[in-house]
Amino acid sequence: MRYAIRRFLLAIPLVLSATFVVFGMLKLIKGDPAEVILGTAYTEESAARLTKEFGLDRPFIVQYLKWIWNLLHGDLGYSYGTSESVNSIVARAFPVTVQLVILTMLITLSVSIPLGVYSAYRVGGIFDRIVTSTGFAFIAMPGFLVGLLILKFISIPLEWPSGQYIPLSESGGNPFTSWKYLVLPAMSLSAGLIANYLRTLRTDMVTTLQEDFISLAKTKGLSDQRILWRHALRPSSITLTTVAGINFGTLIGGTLIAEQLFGLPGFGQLLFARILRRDYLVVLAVVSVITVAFVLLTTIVDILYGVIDPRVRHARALS
Amino acid sequence: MTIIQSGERAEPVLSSAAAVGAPPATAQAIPAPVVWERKFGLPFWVATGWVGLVSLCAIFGKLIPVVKTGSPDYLLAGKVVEGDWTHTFSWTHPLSVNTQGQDTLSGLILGARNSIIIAFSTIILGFFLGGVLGMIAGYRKGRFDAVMSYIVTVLLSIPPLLFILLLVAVLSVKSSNGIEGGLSTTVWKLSFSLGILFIPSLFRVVRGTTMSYSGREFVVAARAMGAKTPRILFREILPNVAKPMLAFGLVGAGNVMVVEGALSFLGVGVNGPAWGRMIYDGSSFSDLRLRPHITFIPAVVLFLTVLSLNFVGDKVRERLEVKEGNI
Repeated sequence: MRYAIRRFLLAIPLVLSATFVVFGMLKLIKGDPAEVILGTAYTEESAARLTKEFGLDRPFIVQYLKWIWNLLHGDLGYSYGTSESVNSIVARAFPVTVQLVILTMLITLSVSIPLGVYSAYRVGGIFDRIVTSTGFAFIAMPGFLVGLLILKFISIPLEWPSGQYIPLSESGGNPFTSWKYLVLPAMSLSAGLIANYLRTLRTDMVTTLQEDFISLAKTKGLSDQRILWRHALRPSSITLTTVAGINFGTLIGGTLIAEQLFGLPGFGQLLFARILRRDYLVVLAVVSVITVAFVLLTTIVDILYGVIDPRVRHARALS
Repeated sequence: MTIIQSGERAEPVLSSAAAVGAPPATAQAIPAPVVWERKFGLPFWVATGWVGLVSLCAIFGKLIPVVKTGSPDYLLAGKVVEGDWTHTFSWTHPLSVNTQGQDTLSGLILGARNSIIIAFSTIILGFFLGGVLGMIAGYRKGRFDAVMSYIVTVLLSIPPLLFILLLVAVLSVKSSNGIEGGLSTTVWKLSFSLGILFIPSLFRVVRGTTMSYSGREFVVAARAMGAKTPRILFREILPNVAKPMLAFGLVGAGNVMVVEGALSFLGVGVNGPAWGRMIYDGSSFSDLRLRPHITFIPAVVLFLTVLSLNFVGDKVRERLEVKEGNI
């Protein structure tokens, strides 16, 4: 528990540094936001007034600290482009991306764990060879390519609804109305992840299955199924947890592309639309939310090691 | 034979030493280069051949006779738009044309140039900066290592696609009027951005390998002989670190291609022919339904190239690890 608290405290400066880098990079992009806001109504005078109003004439570090201060009060500012509050813009797109990520993880884990376990069960067998070589091909496949294949061979022939989205709150108590738009994008995202997880789990399983406690379990007369699922899976899933944590960053990148491809109004669409219009506060908010989620997830994964493997817990207690 | 006989008469410890010494004697019968060639197998050479072919296209580009730089074929474009794309394959257009009548094969060859240049210059830049910093951090340890590792952790905590988007935006947007047409950029700017994106992960790989070598006997010996730090880094450690770097670099080049493809697919890529852009051009619902070749031909080429690079990199890594185990 003390370890968990310490890890969370370490995550705070990391989040601050990361948002600082993002803030700095956005400031480095050339061009005056006032020009973008005013558009054709641009005059020297009104630009100067706006710059003052938004505090854009202050020193960089002051702007950053002010942003952090407002953030701590739950205020992300107002969009330069539409003068809508950034909070509500983010709140609208956030559930879409979160739902997509959750669904992707569910699909990925429920497919990759059984495949990984069984291909490690009979290493070098036909099943293992098919799974391993297919997996290798999928690792090399760019996410948007899987998405295009799904569009061509599933979405279009089956006339599966896509290109739209109904929020959970408006689905009238039937969660399927919202989720069905997300199934295909989630499938396109999980293809590469499944291949990755599967390979990781298989390698660890093969090592675990050679250990003494597995032989002991066999001598006790336990069934193979029980050994695989109850004895071998848990110690083999440490690397898988790490990979899942690291891959979250890639997964977020993937969701941005999948959202563009399948027309979902999540963070991806928001980010691309706003970065081009130089709507920095929105971009900053989106990137920060994603980065904070990423850092938190890595922290949680780090803490999870101890939960999965008691050996890690003991080593930490000693240090 | 004499060795074994002498071993039998000697102490048990010596006999086991003789048994360890025996395999090299038999292995001498087979010349080493043959083993090298035999071990990789046909798929490896097919993959290498494909990468070689793509590289040749990249080097010669417009000089290859099938490349058409003239005006687009509007007659064929009409056929493609009508959905009659299966009849548009011919000797003049072996891979058909897109809805604008542009030759697909020419686009692929010219796009190969951008893809290959970006992939390899990114990796070289990443290794040059990430590698040098990683080696120094891994060897010197201490405060420099702590600071560098923290910076790398911060950079790695920003999801890569977001980071590259921001980098491209910083480097390419010239004025507020320049953003209407998307964020297209030049090959060198994109390579530079991607290089920066890959520095953190390359830094980590090199730092880790350097650390594992910095305690080895030959490094300690070199230091005891009074060698200066740069000499130890470049003459003692670099040759050992270079091998895993090569394997990682090949797989990394594949990764760069995927990212570059994704970027140009999203309209943030290079100004000019790019595979990702070609894939995007045919990705609308009606194009996918009626004329799928526009998207899928470049997609397959991109996929095969990335697959080949991964495969070659994987084999090279496997081999290098085996070699290290033998030593």
